[in-house]
Amino acid sequence: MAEDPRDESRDPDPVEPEGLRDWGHRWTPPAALFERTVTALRAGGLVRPARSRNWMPAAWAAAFAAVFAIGFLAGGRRSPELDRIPAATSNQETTMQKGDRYALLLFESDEYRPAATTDARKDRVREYGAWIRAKGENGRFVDGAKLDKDGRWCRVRSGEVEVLDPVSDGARGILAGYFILGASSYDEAVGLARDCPHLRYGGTVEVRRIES
Amino acid sequence: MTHEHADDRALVAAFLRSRSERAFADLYERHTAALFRFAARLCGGPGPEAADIVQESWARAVERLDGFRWQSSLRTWLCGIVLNGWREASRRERRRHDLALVDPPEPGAPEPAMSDPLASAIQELPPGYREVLILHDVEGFTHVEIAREFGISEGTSKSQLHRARRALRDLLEKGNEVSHG
Repeated sequence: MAEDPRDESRDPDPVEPEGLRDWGHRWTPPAALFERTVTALRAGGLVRPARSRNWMPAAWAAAFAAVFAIGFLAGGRRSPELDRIPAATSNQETTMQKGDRYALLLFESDEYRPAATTDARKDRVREYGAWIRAKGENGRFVDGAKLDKDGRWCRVRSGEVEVLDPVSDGARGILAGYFILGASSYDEAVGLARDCPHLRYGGTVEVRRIES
Repeated sequence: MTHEHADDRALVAAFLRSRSERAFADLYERHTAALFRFAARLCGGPGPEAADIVQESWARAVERLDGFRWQSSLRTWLCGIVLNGWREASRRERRRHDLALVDPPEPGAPEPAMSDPLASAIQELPPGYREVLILHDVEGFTHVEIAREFGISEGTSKSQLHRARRALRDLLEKGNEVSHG
């Protein structure tokens, strides 16, 4: 078939200019573009807004609080309830309203006062649950977990890794659990920690900002 | 089905099920860098116009996502939305000039701040040439894909590309002559 002289794609010299394929390959979107885009989607009702997910923190918080409180109330002995209640995981979706994330590290020393009676245990469960729910409803609660006291320390001595049982950290005691909350400053994070039930019963709460 | 295609299907399905911000963030993370580069190339640089186009494109994409039939890749479909967004933005800008609401620029005049000769030259191309040149020579779409996805017939795509390459070469040569005195 004869070639069509009007076929302009038959450029005798269709060489691409140097650098054309790589032009702009280093350009990256501005960091703020994601937040702007999500804000616009929320405004248009195109994504589920963060506040509508508060049912999850509230419903989950009750289960989480039970895990947490029962673990404390049992004074280190594993309670059968722990096997039935789902543990909180960081896969639960929560949204930070603003600012950074702060870890509230909960320590339990000899001064910590476990609940002595069944009724007292129930009150503690309600108390922790209410605190977690309140933080969740304010969009502050991100995550948390009760830690097993039968942990292990690993460190190197004389070139070998040695494994030890955890040792009480002086006045603070053993690290027993943590919460992750959202706050915009240490002052704000400490303000959130002030009414943590753990403090009321002789525990220590260390507040540390999580670096991003 | 390619691995990438399967991943996109899973992400879209997850988003349509939950409509959550997290599911959207997965889609955003996967595609936005490429979409932004495409928008920026059309706009002549990685400025706020490109970011605006990408933001609006995501909104349109999310609105239409449940109607997407996977006749092309998700990336190609998203690029089509970006291209249409750029076309609309360009039309709005031309209308503003026509209404003399702003001083009209010289036709094809490059952004004053643009110091990249290639970017300057591409910005001087007429919009149709610029589109096809970027789609084919920079983004790597074939003429068949350009015809199917971007509203440009295959014949037009080929002829526009030929003219765009010739015009770009001429502009770059003229630029070289000027800079070398």
